[in-house]
Amino acid sequence: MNLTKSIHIKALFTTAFGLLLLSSCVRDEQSPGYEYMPDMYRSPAIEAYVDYGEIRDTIRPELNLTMSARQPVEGTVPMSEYAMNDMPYSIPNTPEGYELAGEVLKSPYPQSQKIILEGTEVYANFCVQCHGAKGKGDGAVVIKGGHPAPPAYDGTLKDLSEGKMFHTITYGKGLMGSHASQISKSDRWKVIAFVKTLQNPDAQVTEQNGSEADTTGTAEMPN
Amino acid sequence: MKHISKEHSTVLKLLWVAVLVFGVAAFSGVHAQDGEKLFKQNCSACHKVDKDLVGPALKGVQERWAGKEELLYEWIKNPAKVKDMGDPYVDKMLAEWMPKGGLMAAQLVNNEEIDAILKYVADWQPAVAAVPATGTADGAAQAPGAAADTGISAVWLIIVAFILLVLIFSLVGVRSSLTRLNSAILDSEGEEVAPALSSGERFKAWMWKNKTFVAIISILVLVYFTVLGYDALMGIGVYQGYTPEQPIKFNHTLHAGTNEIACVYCHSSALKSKHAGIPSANVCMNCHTGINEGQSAEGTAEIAKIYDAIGWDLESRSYTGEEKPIKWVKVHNLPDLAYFNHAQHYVVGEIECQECHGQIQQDYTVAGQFAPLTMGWCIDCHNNTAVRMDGNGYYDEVHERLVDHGKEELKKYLEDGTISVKDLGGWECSKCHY
Repeated sequence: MNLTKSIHIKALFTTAFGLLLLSSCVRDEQSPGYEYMPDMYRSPAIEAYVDYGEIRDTIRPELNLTMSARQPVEGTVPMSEYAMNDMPYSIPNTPEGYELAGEVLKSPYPQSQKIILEGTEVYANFCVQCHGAKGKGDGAVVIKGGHPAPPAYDGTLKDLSEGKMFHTITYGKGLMGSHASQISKSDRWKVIAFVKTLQNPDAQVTEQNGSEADTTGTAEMPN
Repeated sequence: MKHISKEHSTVLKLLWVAVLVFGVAAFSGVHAQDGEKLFKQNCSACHKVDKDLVGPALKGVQERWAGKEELLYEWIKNPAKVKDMGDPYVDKMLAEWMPKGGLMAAQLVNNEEIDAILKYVADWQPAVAAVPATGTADGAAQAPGAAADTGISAVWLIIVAFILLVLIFSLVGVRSSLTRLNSAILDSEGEEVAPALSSGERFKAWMWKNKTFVAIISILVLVYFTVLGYDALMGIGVYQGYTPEQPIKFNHTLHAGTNEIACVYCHSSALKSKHAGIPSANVCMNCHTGINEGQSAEGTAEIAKIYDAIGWDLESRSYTGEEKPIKWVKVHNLPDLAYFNHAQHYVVGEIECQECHGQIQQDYTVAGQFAPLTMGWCIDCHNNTAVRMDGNGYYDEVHERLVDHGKEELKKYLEDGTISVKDLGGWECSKCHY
């Protein structure tokens, strides 16, 4: 009798121990884990997206909106060879402004193969999900996501001028929001060059590749 | 043709006439079902049938323009012209809607097509509530469910442990009373009683008797604590798997997977800067001015949180100006002693987002940390990854110098014939630590 009992105890003990081992494998997804010398991780040098006023339940309201860099003064223009492209956009967001942009704004870039290629990349990142690969207003957001379809580039928008396109990307129009925070002015003109090929798929492209000084857009090395 | 008789040619002519008549009849009339297609092509970017969008709801448009059908045709085809004609209804409508959406664009439709669209609008019925789409909604619901599961199993473990403890204590009690009973019986029968042992001595004796069991348990304990200790030490400062609850349960699988939105559409800073960036709410609103209902009730509630943060009034479709920041929880935290740049890797190195962040468009709803972000992980990749130089632009000069003109020179440095980041100085300390 003693023997059976002791086997029972052993079996129970081993099972309990095994369960304990298993339970230790569960990791808490809500916790980042341990930090050794947190000063090395949370240094006084300001990192973006960290609320220094509230780290690990320590509240310090005076550090709440700590910023490492100040906003440039309004209207600041970067000093670069693209400075002309990055001038502040002065046409107001009104129906009259839309018409005005259509009349006066002209692309600083030639309609060359190189610019169109660079515009294609911008289009793939920022436009294709609604306007569709061929600009027919049949992107995945429209087909699968149920967003109302934008008009087709080779349909209603066939004769849309480049100035109006620039105005629309900058301020948005109808259901399309402003993309000014995502697409730089240079990139806006490049993507317009590509959209023009969608408006007129048969149009000829001028073959004056790369000779222009301002077509070296993507060679900026980020640091 | 000579062999064809006169009757035959007459029959042929008649046939031709018939075909032409029917063909023209079939193609000239615009069918009612085209109304829906035409509406989607020309109107749906700004108008809904039952709700105001950029422009007014189209339901009842014919009643509103009653008696001015010709003007309505003209308005749709050339709004700029009608705008200045001074019609009182047009003026009133423009005063209300021009500030919101601007002037309607001229539509490339003829009167028949307009009739088809108007018929579609007049016959329109709200869609019968479909069976709620499961896939993504379930995906969103699974994350909290999984967390609850681990909670339940922990509770069960505690209960099992408690039951085991009770069992052990009662068995020990039974054993000791049996021993006492036994010795009492022996005592009463006048037999010799074994000398009482202390519990320590008894435990020693028990261990001696159960050597195998004690050995197994000891090894298990040793392994357990070694693994536990190793894991705890290796996990210090490593956030891998960290998936905190975010203020808005953004669904990456739905946005980047189903709807095929490029990662850099929202994380556009990855193209130009060190940070990939958390999109500001105006980027959400690029689509969510048009989409205010999710695929499930939960989704709709999450979208409402964006409106709350950016101050968008759904009824009047305008911004109230009352903005609140969305307090996203930072997931990836690289220590300040190491430098990392997204643009350098994504634009120059042509590394896909998924190589470091996992198949986020398939597997994740809310994002968590996929990579360990340890130094070993960094330098492994710098050692193993061949630099993607072909047609890259950034490496044209280096590539030319290394491969075209310096092949012999190059071989001295390359063991495997590929140019890795390490070969270009990717293992220099000061590349990342400075």
